[in-house]
Formats: sequence, C-alpha cells, structure tokens
Amino acid sequence: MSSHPATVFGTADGPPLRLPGSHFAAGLVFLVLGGAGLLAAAPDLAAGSFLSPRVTGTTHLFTLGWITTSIMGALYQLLPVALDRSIRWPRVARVTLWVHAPGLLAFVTGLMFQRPAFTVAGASLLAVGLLAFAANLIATLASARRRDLTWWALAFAATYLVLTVLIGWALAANLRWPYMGAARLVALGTHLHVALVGWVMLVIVGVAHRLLPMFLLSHGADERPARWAVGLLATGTALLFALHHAPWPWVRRIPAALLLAGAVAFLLQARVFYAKRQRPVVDVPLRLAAAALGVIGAAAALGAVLSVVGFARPGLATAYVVALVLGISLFVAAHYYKIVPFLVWMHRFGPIAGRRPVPKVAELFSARWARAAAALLTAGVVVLVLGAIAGSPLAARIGALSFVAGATVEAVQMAALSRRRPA
Amino acid sequence: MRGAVCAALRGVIDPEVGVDIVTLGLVYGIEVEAGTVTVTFTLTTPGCPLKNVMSTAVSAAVYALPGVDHVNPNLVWEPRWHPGMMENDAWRQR
Repeated sequence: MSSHPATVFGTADGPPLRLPGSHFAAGLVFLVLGGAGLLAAAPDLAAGSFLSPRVTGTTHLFTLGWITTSIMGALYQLLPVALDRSIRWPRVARVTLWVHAPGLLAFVTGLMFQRPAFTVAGASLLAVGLLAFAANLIATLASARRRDLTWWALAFAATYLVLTVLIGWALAANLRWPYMGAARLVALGTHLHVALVGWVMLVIVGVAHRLLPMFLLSHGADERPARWAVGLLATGTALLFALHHAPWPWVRRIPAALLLAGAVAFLLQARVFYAKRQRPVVDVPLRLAAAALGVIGAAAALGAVLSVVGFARPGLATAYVVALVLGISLFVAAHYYKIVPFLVWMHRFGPIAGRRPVPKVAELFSARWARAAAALLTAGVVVLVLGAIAGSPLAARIGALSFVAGATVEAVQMAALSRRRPA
Repeated sequence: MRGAVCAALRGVIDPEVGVDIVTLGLVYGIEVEAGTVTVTFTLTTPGCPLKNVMSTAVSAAVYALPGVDHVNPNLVWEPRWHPGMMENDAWRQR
C-alpha cells in the first residue's frame, strides 16, 4: 500500500458551533411553542377549521419557527462541506436569526390574537430576515464550482423561499388592508405548497441525498429517484404558482400530479437508501426518520384524494395539512438526534480524539429517552391526523398532548447534550 | 513498526459509525521510513466535516508510539470508500 497523490483538504472553513447551535436552540423553543399551539388549536383541528387564527399561528410556529430555523442552522453547517465553499457573508448569517425570530413571534402574536398591525410588522421583519438568508444562500451557491443534485435542489429551494416570502407578505398585508377578496384562499393554498414543497421538501431531498447514505452506510445505491424528485417537485411548484389563478380546475391538477409524483420519487429514494444499508441495526433517530417518511407518504395520499374530491371536506383538508407539516417536523426532529450530537462531538471531543478515549456520538445522549421522545412525537402526529379526519376534539387533544410531551423531552435532551464536555 | 502503527490506529474510532478506522477499511496504507510514518486514509463520505479532526486524531495516535519522530496523515478521497471495504467482524465492536 502506497500513499495516494490525491490528498484533498477542503478549503472552506466550517462555522463555529455557536452559529448552527443558536439556530437549533431557537428551533427547539419554536418546536415546544408549536406543540403548545397544537394543544390550543386541537378543537379547531377537529372541527376542520384550518383557517382559524390558532391554527394559522401554530402552523407558522412549525413552518417558519421549527422547520425553517432548523434548516437555516443545518445549511450554515452543511454548505461549506457540501460545496467546499465558506458561507458568502458570515456577518449576515450571524444577524438573520435575530431578525427572523422576533419577526416570527410578532407575526404569530398578530395572527393568534387578530392584531393585523402586529401581523404586518412581524411579516415585514420576517421578510427581511428570510430574504437576507436566501440572498446569502444564493450567493454561496453561486460561488460553488461543482453543481450536483444537492446544489440544484438547494438552488430551486432558495428561489421558492423568496417566492414564499413574497406571497406570504402579500397575504399578511391583505389581513391589514383587505384587497384579495375570494382569491385569498387560492393564494393561501399556493403559499402553503410553495413553502412546504418548493422550499422545505426540496431542501429535504437535497440534504437527505447526502445524509441518509452517510448515516445508513448505503453508499452506491441507485440515486435516479432523487433526480426525478428534484425535477418533479421544482417543475410542479413552478406550475402551481403559474397556474394558481387558472379558471379550469383540471389545469390545476397538473401541478398537483407532478408534486405527488415528486413526493413518491423522494419516498422511493429513501426506501432504496434504507434497503441498501450496511448497518445491521437502524438506530432510534433513523427509525424516527422512517416514521416521518411514512407520515409524509400518508400526507401525499391525502393530497391525492383531495386533488380529486376538492377541498369541500374540511376534515380531510385539515388532516392533510397536519400530516404534511408534522411529517416534515418529525423528519427534522429525527435529524436533530444525528446532527446536534455530531456537532458537539466534533467541536468538544474531536480535538482530543486519538490522545484520550472519547465517547461515540451516539453515547452523548440517552437512547432510552430518545426512544421515548420518538414514540411520543410519532404517536401524537398519528392521533392528531386521525382526530382531524374523525372530527374528534378528544383525539386531537390527546395527540397534541403526546406531541408536546415528546417535543419537551427532545428539547431537554438537546439542552443537556449541548453542555457535554470532556471530563 | 507497521504492526504497532496499525494497532494504534485501531484506537481511532469513527465517532458516527462507532467502529475503528482500520476495521472500517478506511486506512489505505502505512509507510514507515526511519522515524517518519505516513498514514494514507480516507473517510466514509467525501467532504466529511471530520476531515481535520480525524487527521489530528491519526497523528496523535501514531505520535504516541516510541520511535516516531514525524507523522504525515495523508487524507485521500480516491479510491472512494464503500461499505464492502469493512472487515467482516466490523459490527461486533458496537
């Protein structure tokens, strides 16, 4: 065995632990707040009132608070590694959270307590924070030399984040100065899907394409489904926006079919990664991720039914939104158990590895408590979705209670983990 | 000396997989010349964020051996690692 000439050390510096860490800490606060919001909104969810102030406020705690804040932190860590390029504007990266988070709190307060002035002020702060983040993401992507599947997924996602913010701000302004009339509902549906599919799902496809084979040791698996997923989700989202005012319902089914096919392609890709894994045992985080994918699959099935029968059945429509938002939330929650311990290990224990015995990443937290959190979160989502379909306030409350208990356990575990240091 | 270096590298654990880098098949070569040791190794995923940490860990583990004056941790990405490179009993460590 001789030394190989292709010695490659990356040129890009990873960020300090504080940058992703502050986002993950804020994300966990929003997860617990979102869980509390679910408890408050449970009767509305059971009644199919998916436009009630409590439901819309809670939805944004999850989408912008838990999911988007987590994505921001994860991308600040992943981008330099994936692109071999440092974040283009590190100072902007340090500031965006402190604009985004207060903006979200003001926005949700305005939505829940029907204070349009708060809503517009919060939406404006949010828009500034999110657009600054998107500009930083786009500038970082533009500097990359290699343009692989992850690059394309993130490039489309960044574009749809900008679109999400613009539609969202227009909707917030409509609450203060009504001008949309009946078109508000169509705009709201477009906003929801551009956000959850165009922004969030494309990030998930692009990032999972990197992380799942690494965590499962399923290198060399067929990756064509992921390419299909990115193409279908990106095209479907563009058509959804372009055709959302089309007067013929059948035309609007075209983007719905593309988005559904994209979701199926992503789920198929994930199944290939799990099936090809070399790890004999799937650990708790990856079991939770698999459960999350199951819930996302259920959301896709509900979406398919709704695209045929229409949104006249509020119970089904509510169950669809709950399954989509909370399925994605579970997927993010699963990755916290992988990413946060990994970062703590890398920054605190990595420097002494090879000199002294150090724990493994999975030994930095209690697997038993992680299993409890995963079970509570998953059970909560399933019961909530079933409660929404059945119109049962009791089931919705039980589901919300289970979810908030699981979210609290996870948040406490992550807080304890963040304090771990070598003895 | 090569045997001692290999044994020392079995103390360097991939923290995510939980298995040492020799058993994982990540060590591609060990060269010993006078007191200088060159360890050619890879990581499970190209662009892994642990590249600097693992290089330091490899150096530290080998420097601890008597007679070693200098260590060259030589991280390479080709040939690309795949799970088939693991030793058969890799999962017994877990």
